[in-house]
Order: sequence, then structure tokens, then C-alpha cells
Amino acid sequence: MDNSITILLMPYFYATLLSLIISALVIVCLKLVHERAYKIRTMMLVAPLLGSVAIMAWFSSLCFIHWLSMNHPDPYHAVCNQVSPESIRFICTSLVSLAFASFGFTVSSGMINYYLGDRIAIHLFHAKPFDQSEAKEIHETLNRLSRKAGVKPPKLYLIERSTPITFAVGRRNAPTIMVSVGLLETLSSKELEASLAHEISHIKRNDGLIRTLASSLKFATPFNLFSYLIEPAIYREREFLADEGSVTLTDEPSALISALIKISEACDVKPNESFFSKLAVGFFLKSPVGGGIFSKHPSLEERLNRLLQLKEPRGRRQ
Amino acid sequence: MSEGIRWTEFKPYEKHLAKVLGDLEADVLEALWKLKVAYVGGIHREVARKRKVAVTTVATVLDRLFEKGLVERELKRTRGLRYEYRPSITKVQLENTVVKDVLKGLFETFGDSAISHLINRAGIKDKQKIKEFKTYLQKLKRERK
Repeated sequence: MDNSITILLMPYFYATLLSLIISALVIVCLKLVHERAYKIRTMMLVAPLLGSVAIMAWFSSLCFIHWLSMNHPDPYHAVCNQVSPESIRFICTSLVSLAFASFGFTVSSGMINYYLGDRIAIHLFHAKPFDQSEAKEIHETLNRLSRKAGVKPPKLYLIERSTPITFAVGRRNAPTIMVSVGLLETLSSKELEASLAHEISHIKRNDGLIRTLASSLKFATPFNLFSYLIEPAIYREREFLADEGSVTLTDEPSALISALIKISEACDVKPNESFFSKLAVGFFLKSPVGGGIFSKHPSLEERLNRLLQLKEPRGRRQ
Repeated sequence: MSEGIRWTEFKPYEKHLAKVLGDLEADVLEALWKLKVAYVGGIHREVARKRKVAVTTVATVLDRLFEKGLVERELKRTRGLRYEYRPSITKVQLENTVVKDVLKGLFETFGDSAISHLINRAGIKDKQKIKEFKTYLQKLKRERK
């Protein structure tokens, strides 16, 4: 039986090894690509994840063919001839079940996140629709920035918390931005505008979809250990891009710098104790003061460095 | 634990309110007791006299104090949306609550040791007082059952 498992799993082992090597190569090659070539960098990062999924799908479908008709020849038949039908049935059934469960979980969690993410966030944070009459200025700013970015004006929701929080959820054609009372009372109007522009940049670049895709692909390829590095790297790239998008929209890098510093200072305090607070924070508020290869946010220092480069006149940029 | 107030740890070697609250939480609450009613900017200015701290940090600490039931807040719509904060209990009420909860916990867990230490510590010689203490302990035990 042990020998049967080895024979059957050997191609999958080689395939996984191949996807690991490709992922590692991509991570190394990323150093050679310009740090502001966001589109190419994102595509480079998504490619090995998609490749791993393709390898998984290929192997699972072979198993599925065996599972359906044990006696018919297929590309994998030569290997399987060496093992007993009982072993093939057992292993194929296990692998096909695993593949279906993984695929089902990935697709359903991805769709729930993408289509219902806004409603989940509203429910978790007990957010309320922002009445236009009570905050005319913020609505005007949001509409102006949306027009400039060429996106549909997002719905605005208010989170009744003192901690400064803002994030965008939902799809590109039905976006929602959440802001907390704490954000409104601690940021200046310029800083608030820069923060909103950052969120609108996420919406413009469809980062909700990209991030959902990255997380789903990571779940779909649990054996590719590099996916645990690639997924946060994709998130970090999109953050840098949103920072740059904010500066394009507002032309105020110093306002975003100041807002990032202020928000990062709020993160010095330990997160709240309640279960729902932890859950909500875990889902939606990847700390803006991240850092490290597993962090979904770049470090504050890295973000500020890039923004300071934008602040310099074009001729002086390296 | 007393109803409405949620402090979760007791640190015997810390000083003052830091025994039951975070260091910064204690400072923010002290500032609010002094100001009685304030916006986050005012509280920040008061805390900043004592220590260097960002206004957003103070805001986050106020969130924690609100979740612990120590601070009340009301959304005001004048000059933009912002919270007006006020303490939900006085310093004396908080001290009483902490003493009550800590003693209750000690008696429940360490019964006789706790009471004999308290009697020694207080230097109580009067047999009547000792009897009263013991009666209180019995009452606590009955409540627990």
C-alpha cells in the first residue's frame, strides 16, 4: 500500500516541486523589476499561484478520470497499472474529495468575500449609512475624487468607533467606503481627503477582486508554501499602488504621509478585547503599520519612503 | 465583576490605576475625570501635558475605555461629526468596584488565608470584628453556592 501511494503521488510531488521552483524564481526575479511597475509585478505574483492551481486541477482531473472508469486507458494509466485497483480507488477518492472540497471552499469563500463583503463589514461594525446632510463636506470630497478617478461614487458608511479606521469594500461597480467617527475627529480635512483618495484608488484598480483572487488562490494551493509569501506580497503591491493613486488624485503626498503616521500611531494600542472586534479587525483592517514578508501591509517606513520620493520634483527622482 | 464595568486584569505591582488599566488608559481616564466633558482634542491636550502621545492613540484608548464601560460618548453634529466624551463613573466608584471585586475573588479562592491576612494586616484584635469578617466570608460562600 505504501509503495502504491508513492507511485501514485510521485507525479504530484514533482508537479508541486515544479510550482515551488517557479514561485521561488518569481520571488527572486521580482527584485529585478522596477518597484513602480505595479501591473507587471502583480501579474508576476499571480502567475505562479494560477500555475499551481492548474497543476492541482490537472492532477485532480486525472484522478477523477480514474475514479470514473478504472479500466479505460488514459495518460496516467501507465503509472497506475503498477498498483492495485483498490489502492487507486482509495487514493483517487481521497484526492478527488480533497480537490472538490478545496475548490468548493475557495470559490464559495471568494464569492462571499467579493459579493457580500460590504454587507458583512456593515454588519460586523454596526455601520450606518452616512447621512449626506450631516457631513456635506465629506460627501462633496468623495464625489469630486470619484469623478476625477472615473469611478462610481462609493456609498459611505459610518462606524461608531473612536479608533481611526477607513477601508473600501465591495465590487468596483458597487463600492462602499467605511469611515469611523475617530477618523473624522482626528484627521484634518486634507488628511481625510488623502485617505479617501487612497480608498478610491483601491476601488479604481479593482483591488477587492485582486485581493480576493490572491487569497482564494492561496487557499486552493495549500501545498505551495510560497503562496503564503506571494499572497501578502500582492496585497503590499496594491497598497503602494493605492498610495500613489491617492497622490495622483490629490497631488498632496504630505497629507497622505501625515494621515498614515497618525493612523499608524493609533495602532500602537493593543486591539480591542471583544470577539467581534477581533474578528472585524482581522478581516478588514490589516494593520497599516505592517512590515515583513508575511505582512499584508508594507511597513510604514517603506510607504513613507516611496511617498517622499513622489514628493520630490520629477527631475530629482532616481 | 461589577455590572457594566469590564476591567479584566489586576496587576498588584503597578501603581495607582495602572493596577487595573493600561498605563495610557489610566492617564486618559484621569484627564477625563478632570475635564468632566470633552472632545478628543481636549483630552489629548490634557494627556499631552504629562506624556508625549498622538491624538489618534488617545482616540483608540477612548474606544477601549468605552468598551470597558468606563467612558460614555455621544455623537455630536456640531462642527463636523465627533464624539463628546464623559466618564461613566467617578474615581471613587471605580476604586470601590475594584476593591469589592478583588476581595470577592480573594475570599472565593483563598478563603481562610485571605481573611487571616486581612485581620493581621489591619491589626484587628477585637473578637467581635473578627466574627463579623467571618460572617462576611460565610455570606460570600453562600452567594457562590
